[in-house]
Amino acid sequence: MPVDKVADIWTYDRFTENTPIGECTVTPDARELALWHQVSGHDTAGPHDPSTSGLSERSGDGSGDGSTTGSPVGLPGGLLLALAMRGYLSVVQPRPPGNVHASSLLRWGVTAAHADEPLLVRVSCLSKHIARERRWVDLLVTVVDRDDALILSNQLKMVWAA
Amino acid sequence: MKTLQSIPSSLVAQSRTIDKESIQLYAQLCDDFNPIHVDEDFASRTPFGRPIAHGTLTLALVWEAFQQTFGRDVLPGAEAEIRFVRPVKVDTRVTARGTRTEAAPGHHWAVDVTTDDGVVVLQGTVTLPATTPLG
Repeated sequence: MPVDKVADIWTYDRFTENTPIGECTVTPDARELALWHQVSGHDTAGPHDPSTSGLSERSGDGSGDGSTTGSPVGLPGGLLLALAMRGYLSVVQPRPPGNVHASSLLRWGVTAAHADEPLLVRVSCLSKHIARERRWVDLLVTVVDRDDALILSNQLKMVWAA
Repeated sequence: MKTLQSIPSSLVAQSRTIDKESIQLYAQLCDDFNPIHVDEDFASRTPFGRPIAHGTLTLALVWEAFQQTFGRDVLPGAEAEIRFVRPVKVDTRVTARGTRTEAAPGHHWAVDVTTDDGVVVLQGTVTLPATTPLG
């Protein structure tokens, strides 16, 4: 890695509490929806009978038709979380290797997000502290639509590597 | 609105083996190619010894349990507190479960993901908005 890039690494010392870090745009498309279906494998099943609570085995090979595209109910919440993570990773980079994602506080908005509609991802540092020789960093990742309506917020608690 | 009795007391448990392919697919989705997830050589030199899954990939199985239980995505308006308790090494079979808690009937769920050995790798709560029709 070039020297100037090393200097740009987001180390613990570089974070400032209660300070925006940056923002980016993510636009979920058919490819990402297809990836999500492959990952979750949940497009193959219809409504489940809640009266039964048996174990269901997922193959993970998601071979569905991606029928959520254009659905009035919007993109799956799990996909939105994945896109929020992508936004965070895009804004806070380069990072030192070895960071650990310890926990998340998630809030989904009630506004639906749809494929091919750009979403704005904002990332800020909420707080940081050192405890038991670990560097803790709290980041807030907020995803909004073009009308600034909340799609998802993710408060990540990270153990920062350096 | 369904009555409390008609709302399931537990989620339809979901199991899967988190293999190399699913980790690669999720890496593409998140654009997160951290070598701890996708590079076997790198991971072999870490305390984990093998590549580990992205935490939110493991979490996806919890969302799948809600999806399978209620037949649709119930996350709009929801809140969740999730702790990634242990890393999930590649080729580990895990199961996501959820139980409706009595504190807030119908809308408050305790969730976890465990390995076949009973090791809890993820734990948390999910609160669905009161307006979410269940059942």
